[in-house]
Amino acid sequence: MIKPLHKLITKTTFGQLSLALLIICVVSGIFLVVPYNVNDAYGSISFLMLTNPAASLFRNIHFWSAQFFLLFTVIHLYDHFTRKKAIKLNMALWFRLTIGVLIIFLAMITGFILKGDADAGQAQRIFSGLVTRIPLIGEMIRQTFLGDGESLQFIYVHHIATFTIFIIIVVMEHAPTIWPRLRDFVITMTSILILSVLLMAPLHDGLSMVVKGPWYFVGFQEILHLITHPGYSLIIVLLLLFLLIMVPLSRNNGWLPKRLLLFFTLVYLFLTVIGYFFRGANWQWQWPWKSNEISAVYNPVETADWQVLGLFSKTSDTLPEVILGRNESCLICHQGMTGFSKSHNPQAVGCYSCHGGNPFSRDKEASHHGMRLIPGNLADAGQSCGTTQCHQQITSRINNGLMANLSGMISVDRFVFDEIASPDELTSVDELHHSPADEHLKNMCVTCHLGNPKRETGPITNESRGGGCLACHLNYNEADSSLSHLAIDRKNHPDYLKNHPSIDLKVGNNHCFGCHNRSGRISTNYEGWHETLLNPDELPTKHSYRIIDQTRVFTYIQDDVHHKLKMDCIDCHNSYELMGDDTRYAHQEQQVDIACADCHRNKADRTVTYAQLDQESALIAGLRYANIANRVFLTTEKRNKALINTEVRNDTMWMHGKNRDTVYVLRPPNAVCTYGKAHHEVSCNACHSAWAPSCIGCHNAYDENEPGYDMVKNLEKQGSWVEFVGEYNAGLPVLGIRKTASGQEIIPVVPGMVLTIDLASYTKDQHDSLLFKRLFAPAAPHTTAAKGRSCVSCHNNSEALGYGKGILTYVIDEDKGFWKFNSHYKNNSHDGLPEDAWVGFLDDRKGQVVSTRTDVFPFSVDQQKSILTLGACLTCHDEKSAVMVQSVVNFDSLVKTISLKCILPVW
Amino acid sequence: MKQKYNRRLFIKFIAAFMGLLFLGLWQRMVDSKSKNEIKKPVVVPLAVLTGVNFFDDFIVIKKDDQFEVLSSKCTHLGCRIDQQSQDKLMCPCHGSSYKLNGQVVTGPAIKPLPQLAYQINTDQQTLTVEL
Repeated sequence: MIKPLHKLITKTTFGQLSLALLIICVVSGIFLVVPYNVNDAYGSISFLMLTNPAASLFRNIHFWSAQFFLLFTVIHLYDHFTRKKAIKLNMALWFRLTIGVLIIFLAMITGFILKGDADAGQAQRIFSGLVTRIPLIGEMIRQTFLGDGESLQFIYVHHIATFTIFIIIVVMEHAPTIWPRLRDFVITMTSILILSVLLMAPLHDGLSMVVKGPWYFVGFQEILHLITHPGYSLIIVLLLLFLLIMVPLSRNNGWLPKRLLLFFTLVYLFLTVIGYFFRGANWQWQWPWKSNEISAVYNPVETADWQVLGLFSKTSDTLPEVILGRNESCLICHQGMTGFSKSHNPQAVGCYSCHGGNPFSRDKEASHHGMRLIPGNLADAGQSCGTTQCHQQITSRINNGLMANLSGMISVDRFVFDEIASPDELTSVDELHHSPADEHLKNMCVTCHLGNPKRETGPITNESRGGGCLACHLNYNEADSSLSHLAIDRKNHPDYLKNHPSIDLKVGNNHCFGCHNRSGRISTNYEGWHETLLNPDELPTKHSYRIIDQTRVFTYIQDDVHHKLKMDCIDCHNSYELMGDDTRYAHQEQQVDIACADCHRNKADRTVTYAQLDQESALIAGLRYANIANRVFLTTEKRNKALINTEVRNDTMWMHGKNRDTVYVLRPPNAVCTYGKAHHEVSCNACHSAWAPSCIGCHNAYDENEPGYDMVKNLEKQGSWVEFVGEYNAGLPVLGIRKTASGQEIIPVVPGMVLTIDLASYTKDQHDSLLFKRLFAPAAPHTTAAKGRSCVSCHNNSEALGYGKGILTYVIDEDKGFWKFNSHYKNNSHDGLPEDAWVGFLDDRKGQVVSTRTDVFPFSVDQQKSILTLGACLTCHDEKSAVMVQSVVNFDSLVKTISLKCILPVW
Repeated sequence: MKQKYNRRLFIKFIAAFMGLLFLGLWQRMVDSKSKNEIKKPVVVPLAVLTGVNFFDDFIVIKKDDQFEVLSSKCTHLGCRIDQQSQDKLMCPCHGSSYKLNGQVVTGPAIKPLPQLAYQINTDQQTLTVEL
C-alpha cells in the first residue's frame, strides 16, 4: 500500500529537486531585498506589485520556489523512509537534519509573517503566543527571535540569515553538496518561471473576517482550536521531532516511528481539509456549499495575471493611491469619478473594500476578477459593507429583521392556508418549500425582501424590490447625465464610468415606495392615494388619478398630516426598527418601536444626552446634524432608543427633519385625548386614522396554465396562484381589540384575510375542500388626521363595530330602546355573515379564528353593548354638549343621573 | 593514558561551564533590554462612543459614564480581537469569544481578558491606558 513517490519522476529525485528549489529561493530572496521595506512591509509589497513588474516576478519566484521546496522536502523524507534498506547515518547529523525540518517550517512561517498583511499580523501573534509557552526559556526565546511584536526586524533577520544558513549547512552536510545538477536546475527554474508569470503570490486584504494562515498550517490551526492549552500543541511538535529522531534508532528499520509519522500525516491532511473547507469566520463550523468564501486560505489560482509581462512595456506615470495602508490599482484606470458621498469615497475607503476584485494588479482582466459590480446585496454584504473595519454589526443583525426574513408574512399566509397552527411561528424566506401556501407566497408576495439581489445598475425606483443595503442607501446624483438614457443604454453612455452613485443616509420615501406601495399600501396611503380597480384605459380623465406600474389606478382621498408637513418615513422610523435590533420578531407591529406618544407627549421625560447615545445613534446623529455635543434627545417608550432627530431645548421639544432642513415643534396631545376614563384604552390611531383601504370578495385559485414567477429564484415558470377580488373600498377603519400584557387597547383593523382558497386547484386532491376564512388584521393605516374622528363615527357606526356597511338604527318602542341593523351586503354563504363583516350584530365568534394574530379580537358582546349604549345617547345629545363631554370623564356616575326622558337600550 | 582522559574531561567541563555562562549572559541581556524598554502608555480621546471601541492593543467599553479597558489580546494565543457580535467579543483566529466584562464565553481560550489600568484627564479630555 505504501509506495514510494520517487517513481513519479525519472532520472532525478525529489531531494535533487528540493536542492534546486532551495538555491532558487535563496537567490531570488537576495534580490527581493531591494524593493522590500521591512518598516512598511504591506505598503512596499503592494507598491511593488503595482509599479514594479520585475520585482513582482522575483517575489513570485521566491514564493513558489519556497512552497514547492517545503512540499518536495517532505516527499523526499517520505521516499527515504519507504526504502527497504536502512540508511547508515551519523546520529549527530541525523539530529541536525531533524532540527532542520523544524527550521524549514520556521523559515516558511517567518516568510509568511514578513508580508505584513492582516493575516501575517495574526500569525505573528499566534507564533509569539506559542513560543512564550515553552517552559522556562519560552519568554527568552520569544524576545530573542521574535522581538516585541511592534516591528518585523527580528523576524526579517532570522528569516534571511539564521534559518537560511542553518538549512544550507545541514543540506551541505547530508546531500552532500549545495550545487544542484544542471539539468535539474534548468527544469526547475523553467517550471518556477512559468508558474511565476502566471500566478501572483498572494497578499491578503485584511478585510475578510476569515483568518486561516498558510496552507501548511491550516491543519495546525484546527489542532489549536481543539486544544484549550496551546502548550500541548508544542508537545505534539516535540513528539514529531522525537519520532523522526527515533527512525534510525528503532528496530525493524524504524517500522514503528515511520508508521506513526505516516498516520499523523494522514490525520493532518484530514484536519487541513476540515480547516480549509469547513471553517468560516471566527473558525466557526460551516458547510462548504453554504459559504461563498471557501477560498479564505489564499487562492492564488485566479485568472492568469499577465501583468508581470509588463516589464517589457513602459510603466505608466500614474502611481497607485494608498488607502488604509494599502496600494490600490483601481483608480489608475478609473480616473475622474464623481458622485461619491463624504464617507464612502475612494479616499476614505478605497474601491476594493466595497467592490472586491484584485487591487494588486494593473491588468484589466485580473483586476476585475471576482469583482462585485453591485456590492451591498445581502448575499455578499458580509464581504463588502460588513467587513471588520466597517459595518459588521449591521450586516450580522439585518437577517433577523422582518424586511429580510419576512417571517410574519410567511407564517400568516401558512396559517391562513391551515398549514401551521399559529401565525406567530418564526421562519424565513429562505425556508420556503412547495406547500400550497409556500407556492402562493413565491408567486405573489415574497419578492419584497432585502435579500432579493439588485442586478442592474441604476437608481432605486418604484420597480425596485430588495437590494440589500442599497435598497435604502443608494442614491444617484440627480445631475447624473448617464441616467437620462434608458437602463439598457446606460452602459453605452460616455459618462457611465464617470458617475458613481452615492451611499449615504439620504433615505427618502422613494426608497420605501417600491415595496410599501403594495400589500398594506402604506406608502400610497401616506401620500393620500387609494388603489381602485379601475382600468387605466377606461378613465374619463387622467387628471385626478395616479397610475403606478402602468396598470394600477389610484384616486386621491387625503394624505397623512405628517406628509402634509413634509415629513419622511425615516423621520419616525429609526435605524434599529428598519435594520433590526438582532431580535427576531413575529410580526411587523412588534418590530416597530416608534409610537405617537414618543413625540406627542406632555412633558420631556425619558431623554438621553449625546454622551449617553449608543454608538450607532451617535454616529448617525453626528453625520446628520452639527453642534450636537450638548444636545438632549427624546427616547422611545417601547425600547428606549434615542430619537436622534429630536431635541429638548428650553423646555420645548423639537424635531428636525432628517433629509430636509425643517424644524417642527412637537405638540402634546390634545387634552380631550387623555382626560377622563372612557378613552384611556383607545390608541391614537383608532381615532386619528382618516381612512383605511379595505377589500371584499377575494378568491384564490391555482391555474397551471397561467404564466407565473418564482420570486425566490427570480425565474419565470408555468403555473401560478391567481387572486380574484370583488371590491376595493376606502373609509374609516373598523376597530378592534388588541390584548396586551397590561390589559387591552382599541386599534384600527382592516380585512386581513377574508377570502376563499381553492386548495384542490393546487394539490389536485379531491378531498381538499374550499377554504373560507374571515380574518381581520391590525393596521397602521398611515393616514393620520389632525382632527380625530367624530363620536358617532365609532359609537353609531356599524362598520366601526365590525358589523360591516349597513343601516344601524336605534328604535324606541314605548320606553324601551332597541338597536337594529340591516347590512348592506348579502350574507356570505360560508358563514352567514355579511360579506364585509368581522363579527355578527351583537354577536361574537367564540371558538373561531378571527384574526391573523393571536392577540387581536373584535369587540366582545359586552363591549359592543357599552359602545352602543353611548351611541344611544348620541341619537339625542349633540357630540359637543356638556352631557356628552361629561360622559367621557365618568360615564358610570353620569348614567345614574339621567333624566326620565333618557331611554337606554335593552338587549 | 590517564592524563589524556583527564584533559579531555577537563575541556568538556570547561565547555559545559561556558555554555551555562552563555545562557546566563543571554538571560541577562534579554532581561536588561526588556526592563529598560518600558511600554509607553497610549492616549486616546475621551469622547469615545458608548459601547465597544476597538484600538490596537486594547478595547474601551463605555456604558453610561463608566469605562472599562480590556486587553485586545486573546488569552488563547494572542490574536488581536477586533470584532464584536451580539455583545460578545470575537477572536477571528480559533473561535474564542468573551463577554464584555472579559469573561470567556466559548473557548479554546480559558483565561478571561485582563483589565488594563487607565487614567482619565478631564482637562485634556483624554484617556490614558497603561499597557
